[in-house]
Amino acid sequence: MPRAEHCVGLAKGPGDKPHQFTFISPDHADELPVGEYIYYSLGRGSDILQVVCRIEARVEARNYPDALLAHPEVSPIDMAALLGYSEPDNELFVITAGVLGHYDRSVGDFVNPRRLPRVGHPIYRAPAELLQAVLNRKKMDEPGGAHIGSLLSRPPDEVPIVLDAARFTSTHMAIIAGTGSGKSYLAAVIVEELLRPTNRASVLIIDPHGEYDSLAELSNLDQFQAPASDDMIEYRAAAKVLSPDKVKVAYRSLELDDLRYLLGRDLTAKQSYALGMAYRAAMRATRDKWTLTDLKNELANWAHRAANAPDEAGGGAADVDSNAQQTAAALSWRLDNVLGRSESRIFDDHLDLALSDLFAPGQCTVLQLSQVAEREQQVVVATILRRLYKARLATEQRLAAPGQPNYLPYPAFVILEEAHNFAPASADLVTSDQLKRILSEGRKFGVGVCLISQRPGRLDPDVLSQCMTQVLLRITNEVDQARVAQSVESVGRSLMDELPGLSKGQAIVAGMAVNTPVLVRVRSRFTRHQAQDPDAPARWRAHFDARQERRRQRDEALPGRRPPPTTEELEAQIFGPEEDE
Amino acid sequence: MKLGKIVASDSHLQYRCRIYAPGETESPPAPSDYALGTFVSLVTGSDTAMVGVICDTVLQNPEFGVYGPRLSTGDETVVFSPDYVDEACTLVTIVALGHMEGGKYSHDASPIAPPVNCEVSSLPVEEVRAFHLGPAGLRLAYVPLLLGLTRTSPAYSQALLRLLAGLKELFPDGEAHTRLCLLSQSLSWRLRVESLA
Repeated sequence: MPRAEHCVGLAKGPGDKPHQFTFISPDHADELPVGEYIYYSLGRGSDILQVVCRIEARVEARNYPDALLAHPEVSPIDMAALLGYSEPDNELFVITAGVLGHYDRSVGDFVNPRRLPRVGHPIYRAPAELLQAVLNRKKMDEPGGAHIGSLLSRPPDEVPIVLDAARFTSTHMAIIAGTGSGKSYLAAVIVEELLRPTNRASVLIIDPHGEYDSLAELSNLDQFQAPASDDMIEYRAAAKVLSPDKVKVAYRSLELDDLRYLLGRDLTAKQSYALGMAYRAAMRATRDKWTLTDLKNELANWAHRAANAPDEAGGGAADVDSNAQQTAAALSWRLDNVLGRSESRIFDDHLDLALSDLFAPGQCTVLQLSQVAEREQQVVVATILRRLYKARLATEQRLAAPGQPNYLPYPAFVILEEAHNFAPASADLVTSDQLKRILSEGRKFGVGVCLISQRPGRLDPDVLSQCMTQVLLRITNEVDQARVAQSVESVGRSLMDELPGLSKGQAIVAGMAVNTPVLVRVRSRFTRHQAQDPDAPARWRAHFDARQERRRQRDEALPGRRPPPTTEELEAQIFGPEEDE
Repeated sequence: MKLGKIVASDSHLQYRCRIYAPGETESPPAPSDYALGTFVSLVTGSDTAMVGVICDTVLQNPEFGVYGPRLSTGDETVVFSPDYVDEACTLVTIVALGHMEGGKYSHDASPIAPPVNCEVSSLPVEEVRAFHLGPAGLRLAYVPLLLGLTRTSPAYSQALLRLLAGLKELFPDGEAHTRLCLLSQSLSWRLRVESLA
């Protein structure tokens, strides 16, 4: 039940920074931790402004002398009573608060009145209703809202935190967290919210670790269904999990840079040139629908032409004819090895993931890449992002019509796990350019991304800084903390200091989707959570389980498990045992 | 109740009062009447008086430590030498907290100093109440003065705490009580606990 507002302290004076002031409070109820919200009033009569502030620091103003704290089993309260001081409440705090401002609905943001409270001015704990109204851009269950949890400094569910889905799906989001701090859990909560009947989003999750299978449950849950109404048809969220064997990329979706990237860094200049010639020739000959065979044929044609006209091979040297044959042969071998015979068989002459299968309103598609090599993962993601961006561009500019494969008449949101593998700080990958383009221009065409990373120190800082909503969970690595502090300007220093101390399921949310940075307790998922670390000791113990041992013996006794019989054994089976002479 | 008379002063704000001994007045005061923290008044004019508080007590006994021969015992002195003044007495230190002029109390120092032998009386409870109620409610403007004097003698801090405890009983509820509790708590912390730091 929300508490009525009450005075918690009196203003002491200005703080160290222009937007800060200090106040004194006994904080008997222990309700003023760092991150809590308070307010003071400005003005009179009907023009009273409630200036909301966040507590940024607190220190003891009145403290027991060290001598009274000398024995761990003797309370300083008892020691003070011994000295004749018997008051029960002794602690007094100097609390530093940072002014956020009064919420101006016409501006849609906090406005700093630049007037601090006078000395002795009463300071109030902000009531839940005020916080709900001013922290969130959206109300609970309002279309376009994403309820991800509640304010950490208040009891669970007292102040729900509702993100503005329109903002973070268009201006991008970053979820940064250390291992085991609940980032995939939070991402799943966001996906759930996007698929609620109030949003009905089109979401694609790039899942390199197979952590999002359980989202398939959401199509059976009531929270993701809505009956038909006067102006809306019946809604039931769809979830599609594409296992690695179903992930297919047609060769025609690959660009020259993708091919060069797949073939590796040690491609010689001549091989790279030959590949470019063959690629362009294959594109021309097949009207952009080339297969691997087409490419290899064009490579052979290029080698043949080079033998007859050395200048065409780009060299002009005397030995170019013989080298061209070798180059083409080497390239052809590498193409076969990398594309045609890759274990995952991702690349295919004809099969491709249709955009309309990957993206549809009210649908969450989980693209599992757990058994796919890292380079192939990167090319798969690059091709999907490129096709998505081009389709949205073509559709918005009316260059694509219904029925065409590049027609996508609705915005899409892509969640990219392990984003540091797709846009690293240290290298320029095929995905880096795609991501940068979407981050800078995707907003105009309704393409949003959510980057998830546990190593922000390895993530391209430009990419990180273009995600306008940031969700930070516990980060203990100092390099990662520094990168986050550098790239995420909207989170104040006081909140950044909270990062190492956050528990699992606690997050800092900042940026465009909220009115001000907030500490959030992430809500429980509707669907099951899967990303649990395997319990190795339990598995080891199970190895010695008697029933398992019997099952193992039985399995090993099966005929198919036996080693093939030797010649002598076979003869003995057919002709019977050999008799001694 | 008449308690005694002024016999000396240390400053314009600190006076020494000799408590009436038995025989000096019809009803000599009991020790509880001049206890530490007791409010007193000293008439300084026709319609002026000084208000003070007892902050220290000293026992004067000139015979203590005198081991020479005596003409008579102490009990016999009263009989055989009635004009012999008994110099054993109780002295209390009174700190001037304010004054009354024309029926109005002020917490400023009295401009008129009480003369030697000025009689000291205990301030009735209602007058103590009136002394502490100003136009804006409860007032204790003399606290900084007493707090400053606590450096000179530990008795002052005890007198101050006793004074506040008495006032809390005199103002048992309302804002005045809350303020007195806050002041009392703060001073108690400072004088009892913080002194150990």
